[in-house]
Amino acid sequence: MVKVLLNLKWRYFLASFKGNAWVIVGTIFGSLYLLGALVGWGVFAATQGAQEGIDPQTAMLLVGAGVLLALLWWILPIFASGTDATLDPDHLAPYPLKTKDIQLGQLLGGLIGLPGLATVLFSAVTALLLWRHPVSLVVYVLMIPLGLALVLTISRIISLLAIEISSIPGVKQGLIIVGFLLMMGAGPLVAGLALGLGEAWDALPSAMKVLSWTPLGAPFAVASAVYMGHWGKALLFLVLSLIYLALSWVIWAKLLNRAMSRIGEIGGTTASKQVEAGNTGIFKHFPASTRGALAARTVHMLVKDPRCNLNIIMIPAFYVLFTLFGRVSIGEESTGNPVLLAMAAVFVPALAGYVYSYLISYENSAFSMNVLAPVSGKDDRWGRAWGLLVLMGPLIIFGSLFLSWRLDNFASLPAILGLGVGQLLCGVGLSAFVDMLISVPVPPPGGSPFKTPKQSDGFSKGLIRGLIMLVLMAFAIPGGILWIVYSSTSSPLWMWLSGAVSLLIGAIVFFIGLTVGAARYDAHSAETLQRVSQFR
Amino acid sequence: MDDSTEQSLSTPVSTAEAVAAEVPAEALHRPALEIQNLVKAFKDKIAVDGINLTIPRGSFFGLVGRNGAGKTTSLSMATGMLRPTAGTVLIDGINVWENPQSAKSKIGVLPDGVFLFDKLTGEQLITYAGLLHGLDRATVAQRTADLLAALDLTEAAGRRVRDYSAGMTKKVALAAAMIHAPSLLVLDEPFEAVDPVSASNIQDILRAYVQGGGTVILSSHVMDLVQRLCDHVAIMSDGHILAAGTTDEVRGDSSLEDRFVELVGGRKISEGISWLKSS
Repeated sequence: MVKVLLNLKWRYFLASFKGNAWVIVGTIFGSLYLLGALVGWGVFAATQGAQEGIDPQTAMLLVGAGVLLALLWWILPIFASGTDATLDPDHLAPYPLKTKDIQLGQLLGGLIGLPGLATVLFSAVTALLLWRHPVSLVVYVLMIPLGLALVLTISRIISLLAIEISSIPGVKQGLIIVGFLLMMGAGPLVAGLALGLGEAWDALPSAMKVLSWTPLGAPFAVASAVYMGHWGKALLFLVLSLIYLALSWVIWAKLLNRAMSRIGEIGGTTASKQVEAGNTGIFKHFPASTRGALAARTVHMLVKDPRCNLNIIMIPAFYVLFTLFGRVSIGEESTGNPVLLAMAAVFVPALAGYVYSYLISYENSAFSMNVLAPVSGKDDRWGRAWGLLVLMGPLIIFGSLFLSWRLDNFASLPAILGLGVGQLLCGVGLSAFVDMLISVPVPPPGGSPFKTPKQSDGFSKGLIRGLIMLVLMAFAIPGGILWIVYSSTSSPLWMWLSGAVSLLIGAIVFFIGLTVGAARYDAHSAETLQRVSQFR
Repeated sequence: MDDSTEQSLSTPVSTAEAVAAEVPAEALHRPALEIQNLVKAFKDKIAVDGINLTIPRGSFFGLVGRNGAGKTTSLSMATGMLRPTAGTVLIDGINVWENPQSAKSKIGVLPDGVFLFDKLTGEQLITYAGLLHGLDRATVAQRTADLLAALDLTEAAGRRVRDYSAGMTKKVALAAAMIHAPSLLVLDEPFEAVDPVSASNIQDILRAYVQGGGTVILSSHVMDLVQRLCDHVAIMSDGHILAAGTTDEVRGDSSLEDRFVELVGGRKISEGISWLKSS
């Protein structure tokens, strides 16, 4: 039976390539990237292992590599529950399978596919640390299966728990937002760590010593202890690992049984919120017109849909991060890094405006309601712009104020504000035209915000999107040049001119984009509907 | 808006009034929908192969066919959702693909298998549809209340459509398709997943709508229902219309189901599967 499950997983993996050249290309690039990382780690490990005698750092790296693997396998399912659903209980519940079979199937199945392969290769390459110590090497290699089994077992427990936890209303959205902010903050976090790297590096050995006793590091600490010559400790780690594995296996089985008996309950509809009849909510706050209705619904979707509201949260988060970044990179000085802050002034508002091109994609085939109604292109384009600007306008204005305060205590506010609003308008204007030509793939309604549908022409679309961002950056050049002139001459005239020019460019691009986009909508809304309906 | 809500409470409207079609006098003599030589070719297959169809004004028209016969594709092309490879669609004499705005204002469509804006409440969704059609706030509020009552959705009005059952979802989509009092209703599989009671209610509403001068075209593969409900019918298979006319003409002496199977073919006479018999 386990063989059948593994075969299923394998077929599913193969089928994802069928008839889709870009998936193959993506996999090849992904593999090359992994290969590069593995070779890099391998060379490092071999060099480190070439040293004479015993180096405590090697012992630490052995444990550290295991801890890293475990962390990756355990943290990811929290934010992306159901990343690989091929062998999930939902799909297997109708069949008379033994829990043990499913467990074995999922355990071994976890190694099928790119992440599994990478895991196996990574643990294999790590063995190079011990190439001059045959006994430790043999122990290490023998411990790999135990280590991976423990990592995967606990990963499964966590993903089962994650499914349950995220079925509580509100929690999933909270987790998604936390995950998103962590992802965005990864840069500054790493930068911050890098600053304090010395201390962190010093703390690492003692941290690994502690972690060796936990499920995170125990299996890999066995070889580490043998390497250091602590045979008693090694035995202890081995026993501990076995106990951890047995315990987690039992817990997994219990959770799996529970999940199987409650299929359909989790994530099912509970008593839902209800407003009284006659209350049309947001539609009351916008004029009763086609355009007003579109604006109202755009705001509603951007705020209420977990796929979309990341785009809103992203804007203030970016402003904060860019200023943090600016500070981190030059340490003590409180003025921050001017180049980065200026980047924020140009880049963030353009991105905010670019969200416009996602709007119809997020609607997916629900967009049919608009296509079936006699909505003019002008009403559609202006209504959406109105809705988006109601949200983004204040965010960009406050963000620009914040930036200009951090940069030079409001000295160049006109330039920054003009650039912010101008770039926002440019982003909307350009998107209003481009999204009538190509549609950005986004997860379908109800889907995980991180799961983008596979697109056969994803690569070329990615190129076009990169190009759009470049064009948007180009719109900022005139205002930027005038700003630089101001910084060198200190004549406020240039600064005001910079703001005015940015605003003017924004207004022109906005108006032309919406007008051309509207004409294109009138002629081709049906094609747009067919495009976005395919994002499944 | 408050005025109109009061109004709807004090003078309850009948179902027929709630769903009345607005048909201009001069349109009465034109067919509601004319499809001429309509073709849709996808990359690897021809889904609709040059069909011709006339839906007379005031008729209750059934379009029947097996899965994959081209019904949804044809109706999508007829309503402006999918551009035809060739051919013409006239709604009340107006070419849908040359003059979409005025053609679309005359039809209400219930598409099959599309998402709805399901983060909105039922009432918000119907309101949104009304506003998209350019109705004023008072009219939208009045008609929304009427439609919710007629479709037995008043209690669920303030709940998100996402939390509706499949049947309720069909009903709220139907309400959204009717709010602008179209003269032609195009319904793709309107009874799929709808419970029998709701289906009967919907049938009553559609009958009242046709009696009030409206025209309905619906697609289905439930032959009994079409035979009972529709006065005209067309049988579609493999992108072709095999037969079209009044229901009585098409079915002749046999039932519509028998006639359908006879025309479309594909029935397998079988003895059953031996190992499935329990005794």
